[in-house]
Amino acid sequence: MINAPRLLNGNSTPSLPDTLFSDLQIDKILSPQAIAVLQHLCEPSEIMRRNELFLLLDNSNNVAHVENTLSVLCATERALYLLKDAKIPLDIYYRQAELFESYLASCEALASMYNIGELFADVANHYSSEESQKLRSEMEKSAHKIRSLLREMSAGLLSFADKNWLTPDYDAVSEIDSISECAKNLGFAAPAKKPQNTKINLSLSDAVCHLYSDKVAQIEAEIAKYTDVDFYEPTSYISEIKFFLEIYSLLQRATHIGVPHCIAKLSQTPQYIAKELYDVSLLAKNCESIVPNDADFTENEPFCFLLGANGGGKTTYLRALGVNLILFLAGCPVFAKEADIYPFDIVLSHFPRDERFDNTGRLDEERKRTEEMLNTAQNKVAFLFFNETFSGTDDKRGFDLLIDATKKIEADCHFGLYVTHFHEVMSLDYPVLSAEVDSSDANKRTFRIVRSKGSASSYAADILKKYRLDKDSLAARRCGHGN
Amino acid sequence: MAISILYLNERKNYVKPISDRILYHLSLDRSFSHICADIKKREYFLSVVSDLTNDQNEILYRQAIIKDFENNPTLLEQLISLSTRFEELRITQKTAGRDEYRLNATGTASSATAKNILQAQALCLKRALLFIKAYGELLEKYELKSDGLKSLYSSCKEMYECPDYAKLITFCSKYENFSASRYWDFKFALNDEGRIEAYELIDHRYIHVTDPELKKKGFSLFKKAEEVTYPCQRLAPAKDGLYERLAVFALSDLSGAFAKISEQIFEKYGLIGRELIFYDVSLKYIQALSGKEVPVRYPIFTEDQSIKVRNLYDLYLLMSKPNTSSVIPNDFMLGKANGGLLVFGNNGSGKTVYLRSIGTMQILAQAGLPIPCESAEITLFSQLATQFSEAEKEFCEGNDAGRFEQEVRELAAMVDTLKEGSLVFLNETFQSTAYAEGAEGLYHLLKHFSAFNIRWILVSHLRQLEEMFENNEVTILHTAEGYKIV
Repeated sequence: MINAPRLLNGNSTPSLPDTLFSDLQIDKILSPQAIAVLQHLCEPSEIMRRNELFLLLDNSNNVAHVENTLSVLCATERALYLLKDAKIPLDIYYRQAELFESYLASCEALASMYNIGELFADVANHYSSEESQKLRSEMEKSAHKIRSLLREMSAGLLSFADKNWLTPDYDAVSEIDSISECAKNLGFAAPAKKPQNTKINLSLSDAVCHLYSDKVAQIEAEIAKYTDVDFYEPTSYISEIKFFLEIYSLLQRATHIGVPHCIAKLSQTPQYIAKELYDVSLLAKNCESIVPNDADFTENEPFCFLLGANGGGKTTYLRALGVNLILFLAGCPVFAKEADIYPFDIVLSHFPRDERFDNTGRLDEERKRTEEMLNTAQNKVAFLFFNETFSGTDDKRGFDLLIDATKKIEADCHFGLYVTHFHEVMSLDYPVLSAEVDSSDANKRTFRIVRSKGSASSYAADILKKYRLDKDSLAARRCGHGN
Repeated sequence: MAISILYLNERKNYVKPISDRILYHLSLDRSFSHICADIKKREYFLSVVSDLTNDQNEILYRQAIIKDFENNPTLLEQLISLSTRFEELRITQKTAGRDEYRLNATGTASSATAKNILQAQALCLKRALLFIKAYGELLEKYELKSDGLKSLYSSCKEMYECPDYAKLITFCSKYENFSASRYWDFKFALNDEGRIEAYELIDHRYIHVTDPELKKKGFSLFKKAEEVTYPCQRLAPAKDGLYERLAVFALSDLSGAFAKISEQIFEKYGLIGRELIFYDVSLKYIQALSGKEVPVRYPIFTEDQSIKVRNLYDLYLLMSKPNTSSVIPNDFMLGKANGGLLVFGNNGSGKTVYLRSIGTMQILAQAGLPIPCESAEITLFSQLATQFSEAEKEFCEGNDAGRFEQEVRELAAMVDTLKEGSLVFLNETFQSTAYAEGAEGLYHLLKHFSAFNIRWILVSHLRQLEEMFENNEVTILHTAEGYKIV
């Protein structure tokens, strides 16, 4: 048997650290399962295959198709769980019938995905093979037969007196049905029966199986034909499909508040250029509008500082860059009008930590982490994010450490953004961005990230007028009513 | 659908209910406190009266029922007695239903308890069915003229003459004595998931068992006729209590069915008991007026919007004064062309009493009642509103207005909500500001009402108004000596 192809290649390296996702608040908008996928960076070819799939998900029919497949696969997963859990013979037969049916539906659903991108086409081809179709054809007949036999065993009469009996039910009319009939004929609504959904017990299962022993033998013979089938195989796609749908759902949420998305161009030279880049982590705060900003990191100016007022959107800008870069590297669309991004080897972040520093001071801890970060990035085309690093000390010492780190970054040709309140960075030979009030927006206190250069009548008449009961207002009311 | 002896199934021209404030302004609450001492009955009666209708058919429907009860006072007494017991049964049934709900919700129900509840519900349904027959048999004894009582009789008769009525009584009797049964038999069905989706009580006649143990022991020297062997299987005892739980479910389902039918009977016939209160108070009202030797007339409804009432008495004065002769009746005329009526007069000259007597008459007439007058030809209004000069409202949040502003606020609300075909009663309105300014404001407002075909009656001291209106635009009356309005 040939192994089924995968939708997500989990072997790619290296893996992005967990802290990056918490620093960028991605863990607030995506599930741990989706983050686990994002942690694995894709090869450029894989990015393109995933991009193709996301482009196809712009068509709602394709989304419905994928969602339907997912729900069918989940039904198989549930059927497998229930079968494993079943202990009573009659219950096992029902669960087995359900598993056959849902397995068949899963294979059919996967085989039907041939026109939803290259990724799904591989899977569809696997499930459309001759071998697979032959197995399904046989299993379909068996499932029908088992269902039919179970239906013949599914009704009966129970009598409780000195001895308790089970007999077949030929034509018994229940008392509640007879009473309902009388009620209807008297002009009353028939009383609704309460829904019943109770698991059978061993006593009833044994009695039914004995009463219909010939049918039970036929069911067992059908089940025995498929002991070699791996029913778990299609369910392995569940988590993979869920990833694509979760990202799709994020795209929809953003679209709902007017945030666009696009497929970023795969740049051949190291750069990160984007127009109107949005920080979608703000969706976690149920923001109704998000202010976009541009990104312009090229080989000539790969690194810059970001200064600005508190609450001016510095960290938001950093997150906008980081979140979208990670999405791009996992083959997902980015939240921007347009983007041209290089597939960086690694993305790392340095944010202040809230932990208690029992053995070392905060500064030592930050310095240690910076060193580790720069060591990890060595010999790679990396994008590094620093947020108020070395702010836990006096200005002089902090600024010196900042200069040290910057030199190392420059030497290793890394890309990056350093958010800081050290205004002394203006004196360094690096581009400096700053968060400034958007003058074009008269009503909102919004900031844009920009390149830095260096807020009578009588009493009664009045009252009548106030309540629109004066002569003129009454006339106006009449006009309003067509008089 | 519930049977009503007050409301027609489809009321035409639904009208906004009148507020308690209007009843208060017109002293209807005080008038009826002299007629009916029972507060609950009086409140219900006034709630019916407040639920204003301008559907002439509905008013005539009530008038006919009142006349039937006037002619057959014992019928009303017997119906009230029957419906009181019917209401008690409804409460008993509700209590049994609550017990069942409690037991099911807490999971403490046993099959024995479920059986007791089933017996109680079967008994309640049987009694409810028998009540319908009793209603029918009672009404059959009287020569009825009103459509309301006749349709109640037909509905009861139709039910108890249906063959399924007797069948249902038989079912009720069977489960009323369910504890005597030796067998508990059920049918079950499994759904496609192999779970029990139905578990229902059946009659024992459906059970056919050939016990293999008895067959083995059977011995005879004679050749027997061919015996029928029924397929069956002994059930092993279940320790998990499943059969007990299912039995509770099936019994509870059946008692739920009995309860549901009972509830529908109570819903269909349950209004009658309450509605009889209206007729009970109505008869007391007629008797009170007759006791005062005052003429009582059912009004005639005109199509041309004219109003002509001869010698109209004020109900409150009639009920509160010991001597009827001290209550002066007055005529009330309003031509179809006149939008409004202005009444001027000195303090204590009877202006407010006159306004009140007209308001009371209009409300009672639209409720289907006769009115204290010699003759009445009236028109029906879609809405009634009053604005009586009052003291400043007590300080409360949001009320920062003085007395004049309060009045303006109330009138603004009226202007917003009143529709064509309404009648407005205004008593000393806008007299809390400079008279000239008040009159000016009021004039434009009254003209506005007239323009919208909203008719109005104003009693006032603002004589300036008399000059503002043109001839024949409004009817103007003045109080005269001896509380006469001329």
